[in-house]
Amino acid sequence: MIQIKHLQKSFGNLQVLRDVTVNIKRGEVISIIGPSGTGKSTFLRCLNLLEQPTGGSIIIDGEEILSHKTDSSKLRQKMGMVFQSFNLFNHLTVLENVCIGPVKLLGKSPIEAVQRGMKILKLVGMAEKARSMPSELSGGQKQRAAIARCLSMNPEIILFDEPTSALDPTMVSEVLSVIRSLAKQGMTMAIVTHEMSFARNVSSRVLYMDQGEIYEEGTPEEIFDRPKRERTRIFVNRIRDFHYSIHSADFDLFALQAEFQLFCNKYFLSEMAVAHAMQLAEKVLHALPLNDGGADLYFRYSEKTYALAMELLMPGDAPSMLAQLREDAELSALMDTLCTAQSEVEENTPSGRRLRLRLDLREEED
Amino acid sequence: MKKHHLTIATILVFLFMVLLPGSACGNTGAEPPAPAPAAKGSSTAPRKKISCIQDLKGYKLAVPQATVQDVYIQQHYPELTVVRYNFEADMVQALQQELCDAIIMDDVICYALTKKFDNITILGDSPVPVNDMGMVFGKEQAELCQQFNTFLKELRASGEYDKLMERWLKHFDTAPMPEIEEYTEGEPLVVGMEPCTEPIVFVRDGEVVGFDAELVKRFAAWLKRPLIIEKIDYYGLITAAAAGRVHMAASGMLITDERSESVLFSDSYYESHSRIAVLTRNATTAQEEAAAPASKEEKRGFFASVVNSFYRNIIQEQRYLLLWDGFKLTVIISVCAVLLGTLLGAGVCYLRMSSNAICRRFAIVYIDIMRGTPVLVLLMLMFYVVFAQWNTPATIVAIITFGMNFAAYVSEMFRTSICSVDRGQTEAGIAMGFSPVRTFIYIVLPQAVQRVLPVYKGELISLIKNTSIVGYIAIEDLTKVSDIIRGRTFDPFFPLIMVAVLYFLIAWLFTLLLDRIGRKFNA
Repeated sequence: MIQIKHLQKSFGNLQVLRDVTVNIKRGEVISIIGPSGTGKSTFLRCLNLLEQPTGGSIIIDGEEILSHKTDSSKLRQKMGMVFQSFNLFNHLTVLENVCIGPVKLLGKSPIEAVQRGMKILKLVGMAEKARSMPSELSGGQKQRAAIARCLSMNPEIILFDEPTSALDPTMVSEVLSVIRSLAKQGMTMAIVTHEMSFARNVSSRVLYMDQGEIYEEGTPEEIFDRPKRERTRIFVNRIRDFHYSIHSADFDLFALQAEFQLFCNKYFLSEMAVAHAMQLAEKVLHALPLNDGGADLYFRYSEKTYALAMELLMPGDAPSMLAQLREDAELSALMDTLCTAQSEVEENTPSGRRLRLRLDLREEED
Repeated sequence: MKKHHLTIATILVFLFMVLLPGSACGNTGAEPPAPAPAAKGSSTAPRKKISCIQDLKGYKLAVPQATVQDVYIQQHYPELTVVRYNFEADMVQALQQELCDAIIMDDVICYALTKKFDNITILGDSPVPVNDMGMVFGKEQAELCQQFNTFLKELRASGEYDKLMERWLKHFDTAPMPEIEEYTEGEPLVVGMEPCTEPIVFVRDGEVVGFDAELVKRFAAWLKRPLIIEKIDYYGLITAAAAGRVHMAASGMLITDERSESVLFSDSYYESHSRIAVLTRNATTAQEEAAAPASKEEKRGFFASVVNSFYRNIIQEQRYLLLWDGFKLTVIISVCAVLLGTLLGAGVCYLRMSSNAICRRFAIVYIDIMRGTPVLVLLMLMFYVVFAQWNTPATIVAIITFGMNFAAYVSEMFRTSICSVDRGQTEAGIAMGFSPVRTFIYIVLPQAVQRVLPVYKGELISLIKNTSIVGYIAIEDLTKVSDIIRGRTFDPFFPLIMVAVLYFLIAWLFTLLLDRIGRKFNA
């Protein structure tokens, strides 16, 4: 239905979309996820030409829409858009919002438009509020009215631009269930969202966007359970990184402890986790020869699985760190106590040798 | 809603009546001023009686602004305290209210005053040298000026001149305008006059009459040309003649060297001796405080004098017809200027918001100039300079000027209200498939109109009130009509009250209309 090739968009010198290539098929529900500022919304707005792309091509049903011949207003009538900030027409009632498009654009008679409008409002659970002004509605109601307004135009695809980001947590679900019911009816949709579980449940395909391009795409299972690439993994597991550079064996342990404490406070890690992690780090760092080029110490914490892992990266072709650590019986015992069993991974990477230990954060039982 | 407004109007009128009883009672002709001034007198040192201009030291002398008298007194009696007025009726009013102690005017006007008010006395000597009254002609009307001189000579020779003098100087209040032949064929003679001064030129029964008026009518008949009288403010007369707006101007103009530089003067048709007039009880020539003439008036009481004032100012000589005409003109000018200004304002707003830098620049400059110049100055410029050569009717000039001025103000209002509509509204409209123009019409405009209406209403009312200055370019609007009536009755109360009420009425009607439009946009 829609083929997008090498789409580019820059604002002045800032390149927001670098190279986006993707196909959207009829009936697909596509979720677009990714960190803020990576061009997800811009991508969506390029699709209905709210933003004029600076390069590439968009072909809809075999027709190139970036050529000057395209009637962009006609195109947009077939492409609904739901905004983060709802953008209901403030001077019209809910029903009028739903009727203005069919009457003024599709040439429907007002009676016909009202009848159909009421049907659509019933569909989104807003029939009762048909005569209300937008200012009298809650956020969730506004967004459902906005979806109804979209539906009134009989669009072939609906673009959702973060439809729940401006809503109270209590109102998110009412909007999501409307979108979900649309998905069930086979409506083609592209949804930019931060609601991961929703994206996972509803969509047939997930695009992970990062730094102006589609970094990884696949089924929800592929993206959320088995992400192939590093940044996808970090994003879907909501991994928070702590990094400390060590230049010699005489590094400042107290500074490391102070900074790590701040990191833990920020992500609500327990005192026990802090103590265990620091104990392990201190012993491990003492056992290793740090004077040849130092090392990089990482802690990675996943807000999704609540797992905390320590990583050590030593440059060059260092000998096996794990072997050195296991030589020390006392340290070896400590590692067995603090870490999840069988969790050690050691591998060679282009930037050096990496050791990964996963800490066991389960509370000790009395 | 309607009732509410009517109540306000009633209260307003009543308030004026209560606040200004002095002026309502104090100006019913021969009655002396209210007792208040006597108290004023006793609180300060006992007042010296006045017999000549030298006695005026320490008193206030009212002079007509920028006239021969004004200039002369400034130069020769610098020690006197002078207050300047630009309207004779105001000077007389000031004298009656003892806001000044003496007034100086052309003797013809002074004589007319004593005939009207028996509490005013004219001092014997003329403090200012004799001046000649002449007709004013534009520089390129030399031939017409010559013709007038010939006409004047013939008139004097035939003895008609003396009769004319006798008629208007002695019996101006009763003398009928003689039948003078009127021509309808040929090029009309356009004469500018300010019809607010008895006995020179004034309005009676809706007709322009008086000394100068008869002279001008006879002259037109002598020329066998139809006559058109343009009623122009006194201070605009010379400009109007110099700019070629009128062929000639007549309103007891005194011949001076300064004026002669910009216009031509005819031969003198009257030698004017300026006179000083004071209240009789302040003059030495009078007997001590003769109370007799006033008693009959005093007995009439407050209500009766209000009724009398109403009758004299509104009913007599069908002056309500004058007011009605003024009302219509003010409404016409306001309505047209508002329509023109709104359209023009929308255009300027469009340019101001255009993506083209030149258009934007142009709009900004236009707005700055219009807002930075007093509308009166703009009005005069348009009338005497810009439109002078095409002889555009003054009403059209006024409509264009006020429209242009209004446009500058409302264009900025339009812009801010359009900008205040959230960008998301436009985006939603565009995303739905409306073209940018239709998005503006269906989505942005209704919201912008809702927001702009309250401020727009205020600006509109202020425009209506601003039109009160069109008298400067020969338009008999409401304010000018009140001047004309006051020029006859020397009573500020009813003409001003009527005009205030009528302006209020116009503003109120406009407000109702806008409210209705606002409701339509809300629905």
